[in-house]
Amino acid sequence: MRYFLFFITLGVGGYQNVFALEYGVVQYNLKYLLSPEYHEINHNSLYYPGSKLGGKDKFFSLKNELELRVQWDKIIIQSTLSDKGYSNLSYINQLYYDDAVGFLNFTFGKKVISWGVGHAFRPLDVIQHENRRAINTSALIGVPLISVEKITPSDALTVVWANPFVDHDRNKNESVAFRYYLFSDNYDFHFVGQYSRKNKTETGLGATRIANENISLFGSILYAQRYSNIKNSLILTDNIYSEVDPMEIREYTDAVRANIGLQWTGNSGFGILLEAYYDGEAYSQSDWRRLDRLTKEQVASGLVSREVMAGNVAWSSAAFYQDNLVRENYFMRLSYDNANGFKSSFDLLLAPKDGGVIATIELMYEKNTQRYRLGIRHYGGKADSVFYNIPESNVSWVRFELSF
Amino acid sequence: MFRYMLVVMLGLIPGFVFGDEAAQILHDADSFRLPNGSVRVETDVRQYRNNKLDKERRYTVYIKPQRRSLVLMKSPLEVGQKVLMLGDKFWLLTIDSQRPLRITASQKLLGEASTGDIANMTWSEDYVTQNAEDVICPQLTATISDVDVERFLKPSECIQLNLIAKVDGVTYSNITLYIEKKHRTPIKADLFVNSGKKAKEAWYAKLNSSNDKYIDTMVLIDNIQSTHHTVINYNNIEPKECPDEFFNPAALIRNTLPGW
Repeated sequence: MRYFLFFITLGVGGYQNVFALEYGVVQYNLKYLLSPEYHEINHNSLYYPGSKLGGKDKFFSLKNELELRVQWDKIIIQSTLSDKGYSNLSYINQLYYDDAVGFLNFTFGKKVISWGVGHAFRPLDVIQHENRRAINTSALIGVPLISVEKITPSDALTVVWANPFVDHDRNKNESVAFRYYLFSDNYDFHFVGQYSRKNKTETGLGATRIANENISLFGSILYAQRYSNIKNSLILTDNIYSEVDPMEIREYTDAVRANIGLQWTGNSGFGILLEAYYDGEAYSQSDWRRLDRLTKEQVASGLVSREVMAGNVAWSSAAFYQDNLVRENYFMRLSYDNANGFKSSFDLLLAPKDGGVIATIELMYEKNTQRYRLGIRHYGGKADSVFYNIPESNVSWVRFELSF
Repeated sequence: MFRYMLVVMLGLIPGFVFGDEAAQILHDADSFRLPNGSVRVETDVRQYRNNKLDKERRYTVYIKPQRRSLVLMKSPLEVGQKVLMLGDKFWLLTIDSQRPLRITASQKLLGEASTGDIANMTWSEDYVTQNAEDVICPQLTATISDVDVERFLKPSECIQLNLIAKVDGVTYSNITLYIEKKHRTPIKADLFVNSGKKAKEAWYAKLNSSNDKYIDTMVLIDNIQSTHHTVINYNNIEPKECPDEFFNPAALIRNTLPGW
């Protein structure tokens, strides 16, 4: 079905000329992406099950993607064919229709809808969840929605019915959300709210202030009445092993997510971004300590086969798939843009509570229709920190994009 | 204070024009770049290094009075990206995040072709004339790839206007503008950044015979990276009324512009 939809998109494009950027009211964009990645395993990680079984030290992966975007008057279709070596899939990133009736604008379909304020973390993204820690990412996948919007020259009110009739999914659940956006001379203000059966009420606000020609300040805060997280159920029992996946979604109440930051951009092209953020939905230090203790017991007990032990460790490592691994985070980015196609950045994410560090360097160069990226990320810090115990120690990647 | 005293003193010298007349000259020069009111401009930008074509970019620019402009990027690598400018306020919509991001004036200047060079097509709303005098017109003598410099206007008598920014957020703080005296067609502009350094010189031409009213070509010669130059072609300049709400950052993620 997904392949079918991709080729329907391609077919709509092919109706005129798929490689032409614009033909009458139809615009096309075809992007090919090739990206080898090289991963080095962290044998010192408590959570790498392979180290218990003598697994590989390193592995390559190759990402091949073909992304097609067609804009046909007020309809946008964006779809992707992806081959990651171990899996092939195709999916629709966005498929939506925008129009206006009187003074109201509406949208119907699957659309990326980002409301967040911030860079490393965006608490106000209540509908479009995006893992900002991810590297070498693909195009975002939108959310099914129906929205109504009233836009004036100085503000906008948006009401969204997101994921209609979808329930019982951790990342997608039916909700009604709103955003009120207002801008003035030096400020942007955002007020958001969402209600869903699963998370109950979420409310938040954010602002960006342009301090002068070089500096902007930003911050946002969100309160969630209810939230869910993945936890290892063995922690609450006397058992230390399980024959089935013990990781389960648990619901909690009252969480705050917030960020505050400053961005300076000089006329020379150098820039500095500083951001501190707090995610009350992420694991606390005590959550990690309990999971660490369980994992150490699983490894040390010797009561079961190595395979069962490694399987249990692997299940626990699912805790690393959270958007934010720890609650308190400091992010710093140094960047340079030579205004001639070359950009570079050095990112540092620090966990002040346990001394974890994630360092990332990326170089990017754009030609006429090509974009090249080269990056490396290192996970480190103190030996008992969460970032240090991520099951891989280094990731490097090369990325080539060709657009028509 | 000294600046204003100098202006008054220079005004006493024959050959200098000031006040309403200088403003009118600037307004007349603007009329060769854009019609009054709201307009849509299709723009092709070709960037050269050592006289070899390096990059081509394509933009659709919507411009409204009161210093409002919206740049839609159309090149394959940038398609979907938008920059909104409301006076000295700027927003960027990137392809990756689909999120209008408030940016500072210096962030607006980043990127290969400064959006200010593409979207700011009039002087009278952004600059005030510091002084004006009659001069011999400058001549473009350099070899410019893909541009027949012989077809540039070569008038002999020009008015030189020294412009200073009267608003925040403009790309260039000072401009020395040369305007042909008879018709007041813009010929050349020396563009200075805040530090006082001459960043670029712009040459204006009507090379496309089908467009007999408006400047359709601007050549930007980079004075900082001397091997670089940019040729900007305004392919289609047409009056276009547009609703004010399209110039709200929240409207950037909407897809209603194509039918407009």
